Amino acid sequence: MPVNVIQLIEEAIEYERMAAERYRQGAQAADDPETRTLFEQLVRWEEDHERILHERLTTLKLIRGQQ
Amino acid sequence: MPDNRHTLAVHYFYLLRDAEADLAALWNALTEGGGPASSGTLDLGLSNAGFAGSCQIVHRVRGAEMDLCLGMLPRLAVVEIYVRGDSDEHAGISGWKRALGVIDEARRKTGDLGISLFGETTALVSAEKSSDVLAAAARPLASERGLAANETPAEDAGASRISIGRMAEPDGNGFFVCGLSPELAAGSEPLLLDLDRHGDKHRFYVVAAAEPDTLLSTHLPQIDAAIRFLVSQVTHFAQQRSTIAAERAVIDRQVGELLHRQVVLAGAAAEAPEQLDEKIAALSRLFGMLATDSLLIRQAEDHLRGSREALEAALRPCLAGGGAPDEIGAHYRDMATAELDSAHVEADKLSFSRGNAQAAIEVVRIQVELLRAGEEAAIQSQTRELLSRSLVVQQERLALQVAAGFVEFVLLFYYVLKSWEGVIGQPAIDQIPPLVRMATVGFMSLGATIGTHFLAKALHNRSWKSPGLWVSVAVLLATLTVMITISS
Repeated sequence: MPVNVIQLIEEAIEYERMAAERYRQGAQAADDPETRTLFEQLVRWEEDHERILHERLTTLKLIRGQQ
Repeated sequence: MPDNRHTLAVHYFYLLRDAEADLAALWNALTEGGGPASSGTLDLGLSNAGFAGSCQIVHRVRGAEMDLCLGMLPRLAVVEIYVRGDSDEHAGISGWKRALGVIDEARRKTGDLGISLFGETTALVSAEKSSDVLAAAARPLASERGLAANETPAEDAGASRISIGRMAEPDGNGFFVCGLSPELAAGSEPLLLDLDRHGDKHRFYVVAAAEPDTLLSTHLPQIDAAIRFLVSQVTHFAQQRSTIAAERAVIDRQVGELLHRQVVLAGAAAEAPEQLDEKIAALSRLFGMLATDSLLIRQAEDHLRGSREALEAALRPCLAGGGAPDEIGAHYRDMATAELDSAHVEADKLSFSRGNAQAAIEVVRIQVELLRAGEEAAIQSQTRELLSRSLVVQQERLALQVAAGFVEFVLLFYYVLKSWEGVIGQPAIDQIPPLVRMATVGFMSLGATIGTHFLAKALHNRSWKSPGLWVSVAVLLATLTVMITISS
């Protein structure tokens, strides 16, 4: 079955969003500042991943439009 | 009514042309609640594939604080916000803060929509001529806006960027100047400054020109989009090349280890041909990966060349020529060229690795062939032995057949003679000359012996077309006739 890379990246973006949301909830439920800051750091990482994936997705769409 | 105001700043929102919902949401957010009133239904024109080359304005609305335009590029839609001011504001830089305030408010309205932008660009416009003065005034404002928009610098941004010209200055306060054609701004010898900020999604330009509306509405979006597309491709292909290089290094190591085991350590001696076949399959898979990686690198080179040419095509009609600076074109051309050079080097390395993988496949294949040739030689030797044994058996059988035929002939001779005597009686037999008797009985016995041999063959072959059989029958019948004739 052929792999649709656009669809895969869109799914990956959704996973990153879900992960960020989970960590956000973790930060809210944290009992101590150390845990909270750790979760907030994780949220930032996931948001960065989402941003990178977004940029790749757009670039890929434009490259395919160029072909 | 003619608009006598001057443009102080323009903000461009870029979206993919297929993001119709995002585009509609952005347009509605900008035109609602005090924004410019949109006249009639917005025709996005997304289904129109004819917008080739420069930016085509398909919709325009005017407002009190800002005007809006919707432009179409070949693969992108661009929403343009124009903030206007009076002549005094336009002459210097006094109107920029107010203009950026209006743009910030518009960005704030669209920030919560969750739309996916390809990028944003702000162009600050002034009739001031000194590029250094303009850059010095624009940079802090741009930085302020960048921070206000909570834009965190990309972790990977800059990894593939090339520092040239003013970018190499220790304070990093670089910008690129481009002398533009006077025809684009009522003969005012316009300048375009690119405040490159290391690949930020929000880019800033400064346009020094008297009446730059055509430049701002069509040429600058085209140039900016071409730069964005080129930069995004350089980043994308640099990352792809880095992944390919890492993959190639792993494959090189695997192939090297395998060659060492197979050739240097002669590890194949203890391996069966089937195990070596599996190694050939594994090596072929690695070879296939290298081949597809080479293809990707070649495609990346084609795309980059295409994007570099698109940028040059976008800049060409705008450049002033006659020795005017073209630092923007040079900077991004160099960036693309550097990536193309790296891609070329990687393509060479991939070619070398492919050669290694091919050599490893050949080595293992030769080992399999040698093993199989040894097995074949053993089989041939056994076959030769079996054939020689079979020949001996055949010779023995032939001797036995001849002996059996002779015995059969003797027995038949005796019984035919005795039977003839029994049928016609001893006195009649005695009257027949002995030579005639012997010849007749001999022919009869010989015919019967040979006939039996041919009959057996005919039964075995299920074919009655053997001439030997019929000759034997004829001899038997003829001899019988002779016997009857003589006896009577």
